Parts: sequence; structure tokens; C-alpha cells
Amino acid sequence: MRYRVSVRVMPKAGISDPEGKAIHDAALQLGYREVANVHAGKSFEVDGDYESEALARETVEALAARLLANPVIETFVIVDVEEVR
Amino acid sequence: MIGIVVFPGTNCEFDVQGAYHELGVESVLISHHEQHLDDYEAVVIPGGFSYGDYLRTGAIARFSPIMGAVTRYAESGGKVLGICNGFQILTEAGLLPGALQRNAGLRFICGEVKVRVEQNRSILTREMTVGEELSLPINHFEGNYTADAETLERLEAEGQVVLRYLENPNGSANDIAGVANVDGNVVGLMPHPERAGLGFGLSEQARSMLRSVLAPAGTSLAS
Repeated sequence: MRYRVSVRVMPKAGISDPEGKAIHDAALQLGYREVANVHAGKSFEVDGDYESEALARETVEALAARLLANPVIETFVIVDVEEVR
Repeated sequence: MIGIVVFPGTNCEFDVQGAYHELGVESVLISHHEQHLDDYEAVVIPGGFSYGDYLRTGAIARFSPIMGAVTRYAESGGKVLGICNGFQILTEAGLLPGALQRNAGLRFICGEVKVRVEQNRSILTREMTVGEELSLPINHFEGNYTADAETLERLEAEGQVVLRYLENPNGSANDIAGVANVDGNVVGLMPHPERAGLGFGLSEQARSMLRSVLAPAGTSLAS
């Protein structure tokens, strides 16, 4: 079965986020004064063939920990696992 | 003989080669496919944009075949110097603590910076004096040195901060421009000593710095 695992990588709390800050500044400049914070991260869709949804999740979780996120500055979550035809 | 590691997208290998040639030290370029490094006096990972800086700077290079060899070489006491992208690769590989993020203010910076030598027991600074200041070129977008508070405290306590900016150009924590591992045999820095005065002769201080890598003294940071 083919699954698509969606992973979101975000800067760790307490770690500076220059990209998020620049976007926040731009939002304020555009007049969106209610915007209190912007955090910029990355989003990945990893498609692969696995025997089960659980295995797809587990494998991509390991991949995210090794490659997609740098644990020194980032955290990640598996946002979604879905079957793809 | 020193080895200079070349990944797809590395672009400072000839600057490093030229600088060491000027010091009378010969070098060879080593492909990222290579898996053995044992014969070199030192290994330099030069600057550039390995693998297009995709994902994160150094994130892909860190898994290429040569990095297994670099890790074994470093763990057996071999001298490893990472400059700019080389520094980023060494942090991604876990051979140096911390990470290099995008510069504060999202500015690509290219120019000269002043740095101070904070530690002269690392392979980069053994021929230099603590407190010595020098000018070096910088050229990067991701040079903002970042680590959690605990790691920063440990780095300072263990004397692993090798170089510090006099005026912070990129948001780096504690103005850090270069760090060493605990044994001092692996060092990474964002500035480019190999390019200091390139074409007009290396500056004396840049010579001391690059020559330090090959100096015979012990490498432990423990005093």
C-alpha cells in the first residue's frame, strides 16, 4: 500500500527564528497589527510503500528525526498519514 | 599532505589549496565518494553550497560516504577544519556542537570582519595568541551560530569557543565565529582565512592560523 506521510518541521521554542521574524515585520508593515508572532517552518510529504499505516508513520518518524529536522534547532510532528492511490 | 573534501556545490577548494600551497603545504582534492582518509596530515572541508544547500546547509552532505570517513578520522584524533559550509556540515554531522541558522535580519553578508582569538589550544589557533585580533573575509547567509543555553554554557566553560566576532555581523549566540570539539582537533569557523589577502599574499595572521592546523603540539583543550 502506498502512503503519504505529512511532516511539519518548526523551529524549537526558544531558538531564534529570523525568517519568522522577517515575515512578522512584513505583516505589520502591511497593516496587520493584530499579528503577534510568525513562526516559519517547513512541510514535507513523503510518499512510500508500507505494509501498514503504523509502519509508514513509524518509518517516516525515524527519517524525520535523522534527516528532515535538525534536533538542535527544530522539532517535527507527523501531521497526517493517508493512503494514496 | 592535506586532504580537501569536495562535495557537489563546494566552491572554495581551490582557495584552500592555493593558500596552503603558498605555505609550502601540498594538498589533494578528495571526492565525496571516497571512504578512506587515513593518510592525510589534516582534512579541510571548504566552503561553498554543498548539494545546493537543500533542506538545510550541510544536511545532505552530512550523509555522503566521505563523512563516515571524516567521523572516524576525527574520532581517532585526526585534524579536521571546516570553513563556512564546512563548519555547517560538521555541526550537522554532530562533530561540532550547535547549528548555523540564517543570519539575523535575513541578510547575506560579504565583507571583512574582525575576530578575536579566544583559545589557542585548538588546531586552528595554536600558533596564535589568546586575545589577538585579526581581520578575515566572511561570505555567508547561514552563519548565525545557535545552540541551547546549556550547550552555550558548556562551550564557554570548556573553552570551546575559538573565535569571537568583535562586532556581531549575523546574530550568532555569544558572538561566536568559530568553535572546537572538546579535544580541539575538530574546528569550524564561518570566516575564510584562506581568502585573506588572496592574490596579494596571505596576511601574516592568516598564515599563523592556517599553519596552526599542522603544528605538532597536543590538541586537547584541557589545560
